[in-house]
Parts: sequence; structure tokens; C-alpha cells
Amino acid sequence: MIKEGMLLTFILEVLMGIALLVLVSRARAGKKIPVIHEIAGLTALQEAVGRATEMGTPIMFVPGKGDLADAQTYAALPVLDYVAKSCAEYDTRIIVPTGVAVVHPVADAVTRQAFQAAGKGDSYRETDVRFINEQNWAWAAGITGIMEREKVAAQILFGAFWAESLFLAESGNRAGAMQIAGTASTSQIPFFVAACDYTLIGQEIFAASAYLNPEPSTTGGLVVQDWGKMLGLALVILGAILATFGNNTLAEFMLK
Amino acid sequence: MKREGPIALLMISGVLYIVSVMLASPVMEPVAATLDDWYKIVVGFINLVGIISLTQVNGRAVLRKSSGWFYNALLIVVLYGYIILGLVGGVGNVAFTRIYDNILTPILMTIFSTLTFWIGSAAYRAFRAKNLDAAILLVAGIVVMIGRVTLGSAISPAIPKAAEWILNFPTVAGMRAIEMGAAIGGIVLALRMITGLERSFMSND
Repeated sequence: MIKEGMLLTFILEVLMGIALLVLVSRARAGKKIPVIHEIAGLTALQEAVGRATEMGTPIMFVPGKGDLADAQTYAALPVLDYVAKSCAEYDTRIIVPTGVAVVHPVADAVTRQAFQAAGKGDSYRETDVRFINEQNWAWAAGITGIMEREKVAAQILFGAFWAESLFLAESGNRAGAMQIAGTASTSQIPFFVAACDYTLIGQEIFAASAYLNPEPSTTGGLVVQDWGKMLGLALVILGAILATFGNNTLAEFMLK
Repeated sequence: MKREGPIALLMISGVLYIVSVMLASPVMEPVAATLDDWYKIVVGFINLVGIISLTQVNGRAVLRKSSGWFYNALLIVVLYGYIILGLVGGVGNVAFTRIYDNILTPILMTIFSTLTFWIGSAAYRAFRAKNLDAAILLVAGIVVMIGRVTLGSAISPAIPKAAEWILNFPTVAGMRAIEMGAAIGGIVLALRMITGLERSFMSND
């Protein structure tokens, strides 16, 4: 028996799961699936790597302050993988300051493997993926210090952020770094929009992996994400119309 | 097997977790709590990895006498000194709590307080009316700022009402739309991971 209040979530997850598997199998069979729209912030990642390569200074990739129970951290790791691979290809240094101990070994492994995959395993410096501090202000101060000392050409902020977001983004701005940020932490999005060159908002960060690795298995997920949004929008409009006419059927169903 | 093992484990634990959160079953209900406990235990051990990383990075700087090596040495002394102090005297001892309350907390609050100035400089850039969007943002920002202080109601009682309306309707609508989109994105990411489709963060082919 489904728990109270979980019925709609259960139905949504089952529907999205089925749609995901159908789309992936269609894409693998070479059948047509909807086209992915461009996300400017992700296209700009190559520009950031190019800038760092030209300037001969490092890139800073900040994987947020979320732990491994936070979906945003998992959204950030494929982006780290992509940026690290690009950095390895162009012999550009990448610094990854972590602020959550449990994320540190994962970020280290992702960066190391990206260098190995690019055939540049020897160029990987393990001290460039460094744990700073679990306390967010100490972590932010540590990152700012590295930014000033290393004169980073670009800063990429991806994942979950809290009050330190503006501190990091404004410090990067002051250091003259090109900045690309992506977060689903709604209260921090305005700060990133104000201080960064490109900002990925909300669900765009969950689309990043599929966008950067356009394989059938990942692009299918993107399409399901868009369909989910359309379904959510339809439910909002339908619910608003029904509630306006005093009908609470949909609202009651959602609470079941 | 190096890759398939963790993926299989992720799929099994993911499905078990979802089922235990959604199903009202006495057999399944403790599963989510047990998995949470396991996660906390793993996190506890992994803190050691953080200490090792700090020691490696700062120890290397001290050995190489890099620029500012004194600060790296100080960090190592404070890190291990504080651990030893806590282990020997317990977390309730006076020196342990005083160092935390009288040194660490004021330092952290000092960093926090600089945020005020960062907000000022970011707001200056965000509010420059370079185009229509920025102009709308500027007007809305001014109305909300003035409407939240007594000056707003002194000028006109309509200003606080307009500020409340901006905060309660357009802002909440925008925020909820982003939250809903992010929730759907999170569900799809979880489904991709559970079904083994998302594995780019695990290893490279």
C-alpha cells in the first residue's frame, strides 16, 4: 500500500521511468527522438577552458557544498568530468577545492580518471583536488585565497550552494575570472545571475550530463525531463482552473 | 566488474530506498532508516580522507618551503593540536570550547560580515538598467527596498502593498517554477542512476 501523500509522486516516477526506458530504447534503435535545445552556460565551458589555456593559468571547479545525498552533487560530477577531460587535453591545470569530506574522494577519482581517459594520467596533480574545510565560510575563504594566489582564468561553480555563493562569485569577479555557475538552490540563483557570466538555473544543471555526453542513454533522459515539466505545467493550469470554480478534486488527489 | 559491481549496488539500494519511502509496509519501512545509518557511518570514516588531503597539500608546501609555508605549517599544527586536545580532554573541556567560541567563531563571522559589501557590489551591477529586463529588475528592487522600511509607508501606503505583492506573487511563482523544474530534473537523474544509464561520474570508458 502506498503511503499517504505519496500516490502522485509514485505515479509520476513510474510514468517517467517507463518514458525514459522507451525513449532510450528508441534512441538506441536509431529512431528519431526530440532535439535538445542549446544551453549557453554549458557551451561556454569550452570557452572557459580555452581562456585558461591561452592565459596559462588554472581553472577552478567548485563542486558545491552538497554531500552525496544531494542530487545537485551528482549533477555537478559529470560536468567536472567533462571540464577535467578538456583541461587534460589542453594541458591546462584544474583546481578542485572540496568542502565536504565525503565528496572529496569522488571528485578526486572523477578528475584523475578524466586525465587518464585523455591519456594524460601523468599530468594529474593530486594536490590540485584539495579538501579545504567542512565549515562553509572557511571553505569559501580558502577558495578565495587560492583564486587570488593562482590567478585563476575561470571559475566554474556547480552544485548546491548556500550563503557563501555570493562570496565565491564576487571574489571570482574581483579576480577577473570568467565565471559559469549552475545551481538548483533557488535562494542562491539571483546571486549567481548578478555576479557570473553564465548561470544555469534549476533543472538545467540536471540536464548538463546529457548535454555534455549526447548518447542515446542520456538524451532520452533530457526529453523525459522536458515532458515532466510540461506535465507539471498542465497540472498547475488544470488545478488553478478547477480551484477557481471551487472544485478541489485535483488538490485532494495530490494529497492522497 | 570494477564498474558493474558499484552500479548493481547503486541500483539495488536505490530501488530499495524508493520502495521503503513510498510503501507503507512494516518490512520495508526500516530499510530507508538503515541505509541512512550506513551512509552516516561511511561519512564518519571518510572525514579521515579530508584530513589526509589537508596534510598532503599543506605538508608538501612546508617541505618545499613554498611561498607562505608558515601558514601551511600553522594549519597542520592547529589541525592536529585541536584533534589531540579534543581526544585527550574531551569535547566539553574549557580550552576546546574556548578556542572554538572565541577564535574560530569570530573569524568565521568576520568572513560572513564581508557579504554585506559583496551584496552591494553585485546589486550595483545587477541594477544597472542596460536593457528592459534590468530596468524592470531595478524598479522592482527599489519598490521592495523602500516598501520594507518605514520610508515607504511615509511616502505612500501603496508602496509597502506593492512590495508585498511583488514578494508574494511574481517572486513566489518564479521560485516555485524553478523548484518544480529542479525536482523533476532530480527525479530523472535518480531514475537514470538507478537504471544504470547515468554512469559518467563513476568511471570513464
